[in-house]
Amino acid sequence: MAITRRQFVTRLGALAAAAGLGQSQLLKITEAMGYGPFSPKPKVLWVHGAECTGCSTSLLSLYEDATGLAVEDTRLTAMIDPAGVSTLDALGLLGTGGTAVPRTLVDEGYNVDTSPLVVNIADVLIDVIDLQYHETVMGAGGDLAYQKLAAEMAYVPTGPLDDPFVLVVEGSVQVHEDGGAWGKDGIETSAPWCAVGMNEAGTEEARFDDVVRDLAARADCLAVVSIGQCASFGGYPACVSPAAEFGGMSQTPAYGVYDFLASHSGLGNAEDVANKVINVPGCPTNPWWFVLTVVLYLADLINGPLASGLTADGPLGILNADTTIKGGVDGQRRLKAVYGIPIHGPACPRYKYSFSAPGRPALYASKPGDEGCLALIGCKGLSTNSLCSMHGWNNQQPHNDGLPGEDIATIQGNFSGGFCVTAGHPCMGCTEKGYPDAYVPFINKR
Amino acid sequence: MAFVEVDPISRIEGHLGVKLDVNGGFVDEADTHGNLWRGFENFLIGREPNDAITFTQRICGVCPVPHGMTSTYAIDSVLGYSTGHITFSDVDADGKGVPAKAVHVRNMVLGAEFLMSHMTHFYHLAAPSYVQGPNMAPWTPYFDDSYYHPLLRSNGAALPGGPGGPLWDAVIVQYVKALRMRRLTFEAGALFAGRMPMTSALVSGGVTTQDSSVFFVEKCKKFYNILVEVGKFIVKEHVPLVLALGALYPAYDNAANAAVAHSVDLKFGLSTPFDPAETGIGAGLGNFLAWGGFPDPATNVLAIAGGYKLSGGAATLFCTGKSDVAGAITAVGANLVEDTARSRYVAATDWGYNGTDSWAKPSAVTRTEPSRDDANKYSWLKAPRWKVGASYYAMEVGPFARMVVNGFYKVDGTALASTFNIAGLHGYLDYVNIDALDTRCVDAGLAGVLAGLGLATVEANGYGGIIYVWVTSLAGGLSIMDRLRARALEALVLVQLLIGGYNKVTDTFGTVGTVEGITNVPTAGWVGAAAAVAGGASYISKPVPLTTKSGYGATEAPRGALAHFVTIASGKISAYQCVVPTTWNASPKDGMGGLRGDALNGRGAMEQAMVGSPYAGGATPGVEALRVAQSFDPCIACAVH
Repeated sequence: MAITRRQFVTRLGALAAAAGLGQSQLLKITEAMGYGPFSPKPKVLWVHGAECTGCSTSLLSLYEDATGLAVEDTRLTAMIDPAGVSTLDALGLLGTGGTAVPRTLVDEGYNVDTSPLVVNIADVLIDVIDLQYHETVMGAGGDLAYQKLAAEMAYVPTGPLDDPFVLVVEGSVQVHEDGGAWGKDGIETSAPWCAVGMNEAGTEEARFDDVVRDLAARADCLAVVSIGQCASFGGYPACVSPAAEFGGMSQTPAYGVYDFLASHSGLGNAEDVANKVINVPGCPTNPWWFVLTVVLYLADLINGPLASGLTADGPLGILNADTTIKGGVDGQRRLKAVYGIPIHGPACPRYKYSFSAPGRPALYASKPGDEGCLALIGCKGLSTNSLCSMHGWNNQQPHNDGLPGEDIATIQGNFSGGFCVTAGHPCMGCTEKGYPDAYVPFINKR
Repeated sequence: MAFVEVDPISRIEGHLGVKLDVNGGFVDEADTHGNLWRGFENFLIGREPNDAITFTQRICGVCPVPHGMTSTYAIDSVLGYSTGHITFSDVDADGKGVPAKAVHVRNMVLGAEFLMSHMTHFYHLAAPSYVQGPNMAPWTPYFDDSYYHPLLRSNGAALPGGPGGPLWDAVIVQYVKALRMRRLTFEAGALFAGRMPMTSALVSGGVTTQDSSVFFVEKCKKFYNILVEVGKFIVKEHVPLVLALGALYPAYDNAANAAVAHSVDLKFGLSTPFDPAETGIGAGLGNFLAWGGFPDPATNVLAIAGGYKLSGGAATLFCTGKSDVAGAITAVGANLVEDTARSRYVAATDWGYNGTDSWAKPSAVTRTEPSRDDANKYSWLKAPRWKVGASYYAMEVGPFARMVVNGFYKVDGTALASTFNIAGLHGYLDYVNIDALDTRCVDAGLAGVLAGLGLATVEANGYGGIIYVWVTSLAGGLSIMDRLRARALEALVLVQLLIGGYNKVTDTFGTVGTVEGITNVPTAGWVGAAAAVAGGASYISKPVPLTTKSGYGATEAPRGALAHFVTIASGKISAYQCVVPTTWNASPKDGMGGLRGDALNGRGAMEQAMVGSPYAGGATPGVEALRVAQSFDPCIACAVH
């Protein structure tokens, strides 16, 4: 199974090429997933707090075609790496005669997607990660699940390599000593905090803020991945009604995971623990952004700091030897490779309307349903960074290889959706810190 | 008497637990408690009306489309596109309504979401409580072997083809396959919605998707082609498997079906001789409520009517379309209340709650104030109730409720074949004509194994046998299996409504023809009707009124009846209340149980369904409670919001 996992990850790497990584870097990714202490697969604990499960729901729809179809016809491919299939070939993925190397489900004859080069969520669950806890997917429930979580929380590791795992947090963290807008600070029983499990006797209850603190603080917690807007920045639970009566406070004391660990966890080494956080925001997060971020981050962490005993920087330039952030990450703790490009740009099918071209004036939509750039009805694409307009959603590319001056017919030639703007809806800014409050109204409706 | 907690209830959306009072191995009382409050109703205050459509989708990431749709209906009502409840098309030129094309897009996106939700619920959320998962995380640790039917144990297998056995193998393969199917439904919906799960095409006044007629027709074609694959899976694999499951867990089926199962040697979980008291686990209240949904843009008739049915009584329909929507609005205004006697909220008159008995009409509530201090309050869910006569009743909502209220599914032991028969569509018996059962599941799998055990009576056609006998004689009743069956049968109906009726002979859905010069375009079902109006507008502009206006939207979500109540003042939201499917189903007790003079003690639907169910305990306790809870497909982020 280890070999097939390496092949799988290498396929991910081929896609990472489209995000600007060179082949030598890709090989590091392969090595990372073969990392000894992660035997046989990287262990993942996934916990849910003040959230809606939208990011898990989104991730369940993961679908990528490693032959490059996922990024075909994107300007990004053309600009950075025209390799496509040849990249796969160079990595030995196509085998002799262009035959792909199979994975576990394929070996068993149960590949439900048409191509063995397709990556879907079943592959991830079976071949790639060791998902030890996830309330929505796991078989256990009730006391059986609670005991599992409690044991992980209470475990005292001997060091970073004892039982290494990645903590994924979905949802914001409500601090149970705090009261939010309802002013019941300090009264533990009054604050609207989130509880995530009890033992059978009902004598122990897991509070979500304790869960995140205890797991993140474990020495062998190698990374804390905040999936979604809520875990990254607080999101909806942390948003503030403009009504004066709430005094500018959120309804519940909800924080993003980084803020919580750094400023509200009470940990003596709060800064060190918070530094494990990498954000993958979105509302919801696109499955591909998540996979790309996790793979790149872990590859850097393992190949550099961990493999060298904290003496060498990560080879992808993300982490310093002491696992602090070195580069490749922006001020919002997002990977630049994933969140480095504004939506309003040549990749957006409506971008060309924002300026005039010979024989054609600029065209701006004045109400929903209009043709044209959506900037005047509330599009936040100028200040929003994500791969939306390049990579798209739901296996649909915005088909963004149209050149300025081409009409919408050429651009939408595959009759797909792809992201908000292709559906005629302004970008809402869901990958940015400050969403939703700083990005409303979402539509200037007329 | 001993109190036990089952928390977390896993494989649902959100944070739910239940406190059970167990006596002699059975549950005497149940308190279901939702464990997370975020304050959506409050932080919507002061915002632009249309932003509620985006905000409320974040109430739940599993069912964002229904929230967006209901919110759209609610905002439509205060902006003058409708009189309330549901927005119909503007065909009758009375100044209300949105373009037919917009109604089509709304229905198709919501319909795709329903199919996603129903398949995900069965395969990925509920089934692992009946089918032991593969022997690897995240499916381990699993419950003790004794909880699973012997044919549905993994026997240590991590993948199909090992010691799991043919039926287990077949189900695990379907689990993986269903991941593809649920993904495809998203891809279909996203054609019009921009992306799924959180959509971005909904706007009061229509939809933002405005393609030229050619592109719209092409998208309809693509939508159809995707859903044909999904539809075949539903028809040939999903529905048969759900129908067959009760045969292996007869205690979780109604007494009539369990008796048949027992008579053909399907006795797992039952004693000999047959004892009906051992059956019908999870029966629940027997009270059902639906708001209705899916308006036909041409006729303004709802595909699913709204109405209610009390236990033992007849169904009353109050919303079948635009013709009687005024009556529905009156009924909802008069009969829908929420109670907070056991819910962690302050009930004060100046918050809209009307005094001592803590009932309130959602349209009158302006703020939701949390309170964790009162020991009598145990859940973040409110307790919605429906008034019939002089009494307020807890109700069950969801696919089961919709099927029962609409008369397709009787709960009194009537043969399902006699009622599950919707004009123009195939009923379930067409698909248990064994050809339709996945051969791995029944031929080589279940029937073969049963034959090997000396249990099957293989019929002349070489298939089916014992399960065939059981499935074809299915009766409707009250149980967990009835709830699961109704959900699968609704998917069977809905996919045929979307893309046209299934033809067993040609293995196709609906019909195709040439539209706008494009060949093989669907011409039947909702998608066909949509393609026929491809050239229409998708949005009508209306200004936001500056006067104070109240309205509401109500429709069906995959999990049941969903309503949003909104008041706007000076162009901003001044009150917003959501009454959500799981708020009904996982409702805590109300404050008037004793006054009603019944024995229900004020319980919500799920609480009632747990009372009387077994609790075996042991080293891996709580699976029975999980099964009851999961059968409702609960969504707690929705329920509490």
